[in-house]
Order: sequence, then C-alpha cells, then structure tokens
Amino acid sequence: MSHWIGLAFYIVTGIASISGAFLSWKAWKAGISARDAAREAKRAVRSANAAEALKELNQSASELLDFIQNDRMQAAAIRARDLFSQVGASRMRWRRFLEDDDALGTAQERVRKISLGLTANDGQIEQEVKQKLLTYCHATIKILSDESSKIIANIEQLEEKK
Amino acid sequence: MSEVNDYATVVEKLLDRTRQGKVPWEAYSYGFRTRVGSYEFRIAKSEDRGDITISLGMLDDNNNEIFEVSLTDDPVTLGKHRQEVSALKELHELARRNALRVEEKVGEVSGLLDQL
Repeated sequence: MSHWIGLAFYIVTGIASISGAFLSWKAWKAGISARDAAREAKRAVRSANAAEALKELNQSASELLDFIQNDRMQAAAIRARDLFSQVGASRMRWRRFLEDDDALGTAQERVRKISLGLTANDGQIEQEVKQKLLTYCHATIKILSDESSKIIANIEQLEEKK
Repeated sequence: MSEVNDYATVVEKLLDRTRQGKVPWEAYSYGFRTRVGSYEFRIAKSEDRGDITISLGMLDDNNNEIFEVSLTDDPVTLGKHRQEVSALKELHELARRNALRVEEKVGEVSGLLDQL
C-alpha cells in the first residue's frame, strides 16, 4: 500500500512540476510578447512623430516659397536659415524611419543654396534667380512631403498586418 | 577650375563671333569644339536634378588646358554670376545649333513635310 502511495505522490508531484514549468513558460512567452508589443507601440508612436515633424518642415518650406513668391526676401532668408538647421537635425534624429536617407540630405543642400542665393546680392533678386529659388522650394517641399507620406504609409501597412 | 571673371572678355568675344557665324563649331564625344588659330575651345553641358552646368575649356596646340570655367545655374551661382551663366548657356546653344546645322535641317524637314 505504501508503495502505491509513494508512486501516486511521485506522479502527482511530477505532473505538478511539469504544469508549473508549462505555466512558467507561458508566462515567459506572454511577457516577451507584451514587451514586443510595447516596443512596437513605442516605435509606431515615434514613426508618427517623425512623420509629423517632416510635415511641419514641409509647412515651413511652403511658407518659405510664399515669402519668395511675394518678394519678402528678408523673411525668406531667415526662414531658409532656420529650415536648413531643422532639416539637418531631423535627418539625424529620424534617420531610422526614413526610406531614403539621402533625400533629406538633398533637401538640406537645396535649402542651403536657397539661403545663400537669397543673400548673394544684398537681397536684390533678379527674376531668373527668383524663378530658380522657387524651383528649389518646390523640390524641397516635394522631398519633405514624400518622406512624410512614406512613413505614414509604413505605419498603416504595419497596422493592417496585425 | 578657373574663376570665370578672369576670362570673361574671351568668353564674351567668343560668344559675339559665334553669334556672327564666324566661328565654326563641330560635335565631339563630350560636346562641341572649335579652333581659333592654334587654340581649341570645348564646350559641354550636363544636367543634375534640374540644374544645368556648362563647362568651357581652352586648350593650346599641345592639348594643354589654358583655362576651364564651369558654371551651374543654381541660385547661389546665378546670384553671383547671372550674366556669365546666361552667356555660357547661349554659347552652348549656338555651338550646338552651328555644329548640328539645326536651322538647315529644320528647314529641310519642313520642306519634306510640305511635299507629303
């Protein structure tokens, strides 16, 4: 009899151990997926922030275009100077969310030339130069808009996959 | 690369004589060229993201480069050298038209179209 009791004890404790191990594994898995979910959520928020930041730069570039179109060259020069550093900072900060890192480099180079072009002749801008400045503004706006849209498209694509 | 202002007089005279049809240009691998005495002028055009760059070089009879000027029509260069950029663009276009006999060929094709 005591032999059977001992065997039953071993079986029960064995099952309990296996169940314990299984539950621990389940808890560990749940912990991992919760951590991954938290990471993913954090990344999604940051992606959205990057898209928002590029949208704001795009808005700023549109205002720069407006200043040049309306011959507000002093305001344009200040805006171009600020935009140059903001695009550079965004390029560094949001690099991991950009599909084409070079695109923001190109945008920054364009803004640099706009800034220098606005101050090259003591603010006296001839029609041909103005036209070129506007072309550069349009190109910059397109780059910023494209990159912002690509980030939003990526966020949406990830959400649809869930 | 030379400073464009150093050779502005030569460029202006070359443009003027080309306008008058006194300088015969010919096509070569990288653009167009012409000889003036024992010197050769070469002009070429390139485009990058909407910006046009025109390069004009002068060589002696031993193929030594005497000078080369290169200007791009970006806002910075236009702000400083608008006239020089325009002069080089016009020179390139005139050289192209002269070398490829554009007017003659357009006239010819116009006549051919009339006959159809």
